[in-house]
Amino acid sequence: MPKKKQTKGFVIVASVHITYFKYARLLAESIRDFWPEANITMFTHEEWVKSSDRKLFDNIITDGIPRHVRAKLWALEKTPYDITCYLDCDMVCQHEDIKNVFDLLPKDKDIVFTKNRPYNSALTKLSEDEEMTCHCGFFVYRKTPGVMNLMGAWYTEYLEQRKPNYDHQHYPVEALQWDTFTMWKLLTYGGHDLTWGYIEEPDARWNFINGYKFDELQGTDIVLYHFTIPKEQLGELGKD
Amino acid sequence: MNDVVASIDSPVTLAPAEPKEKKEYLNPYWSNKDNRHLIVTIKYSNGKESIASIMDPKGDNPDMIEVLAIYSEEEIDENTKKGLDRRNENIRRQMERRESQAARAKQEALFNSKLQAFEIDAIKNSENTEIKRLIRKSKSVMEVQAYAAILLMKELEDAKEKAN
Repeated sequence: MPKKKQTKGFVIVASVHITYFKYARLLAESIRDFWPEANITMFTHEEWVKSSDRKLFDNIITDGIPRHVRAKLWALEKTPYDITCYLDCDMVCQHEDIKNVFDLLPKDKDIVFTKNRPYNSALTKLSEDEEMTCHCGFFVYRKTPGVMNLMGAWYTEYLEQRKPNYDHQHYPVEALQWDTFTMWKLLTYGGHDLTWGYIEEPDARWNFINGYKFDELQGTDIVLYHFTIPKEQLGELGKD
Repeated sequence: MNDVVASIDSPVTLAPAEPKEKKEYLNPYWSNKDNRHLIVTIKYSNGKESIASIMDPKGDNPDMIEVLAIYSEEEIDENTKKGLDRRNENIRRQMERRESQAARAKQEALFNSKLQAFEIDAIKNSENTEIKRLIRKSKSVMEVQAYAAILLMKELEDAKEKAN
């Protein structure tokens, strides 16, 4: 029997504030400019969706999406694709190499990340010998039971760590606001049945965060630029 | 009430001398070894700490004598090296942060110029993906402006042709 072709696509999530959805549209438009046939699934709230969005996104999922700043964690295990590239909505595509994004996931890995750059991160070091090294704003993953369990746990564990009486052990209390901390804990101590790794250098070109040094690109071009949405555009959400 | 008056012949007992305050000397390092200038953290019995600068050109400073009774010169040299390394590392990190801030400002300006270009309806709705890609790939604000202008001209020409 011929092997079924794997489906591949992007997942973007926007919740709570419509500004996220506006930027998600810009991201999708930028991907389409370089790769018109790309599969893009958008998780968002029904009332924000315009008819033109049905053309821009192949698939818009609005059922049951929580109104939560970390709705992405809820959405990840609901991906319709065999191989998914998750993108934060504050990103923009700048290069045709986007077509090769799914090749970043080698056969022997279930999920791959770009590396955090401590010089450009609010927090990476958790203790003398524990450091959050995976950037969780962009990653490529395979739909396997192990990865789906990880994604499910990511959301429930994040909700857990945001509870006021959560025992943060020896970790800095500032870490609790980050979903990166949850993912780090799950990958390090969660015992999930999966293999994970880092995207090969120059990984920065796939998730070039505003503030990265240009030599991180090692002479290549930025494929996805990751900016910061101005706080004033997010109203109350943008306040520290 | 009468005052109590001690007889001149009463035996005198000397009050015990006030105990010398216990000090701990922590992490001594040379500020200038040639001038025998040392920096040390002194921890007092009440838990308070202060950083002291000890100058001892003649070799008779009591604090210096105490420090040298606890630490060998090699240990102080080693502390000095570690301190210098830490300082250099801090300077390196500060410079890296500064570079990163400068890079961030530059990248933000470039990104905003692209955003503004794509806010122009004629560019946003243009089907000329070739030039739109060039705008997206631009590496300077000038490049964004140049390609945006070219695309606008082409759009205007197309509109004119269609009108004719």
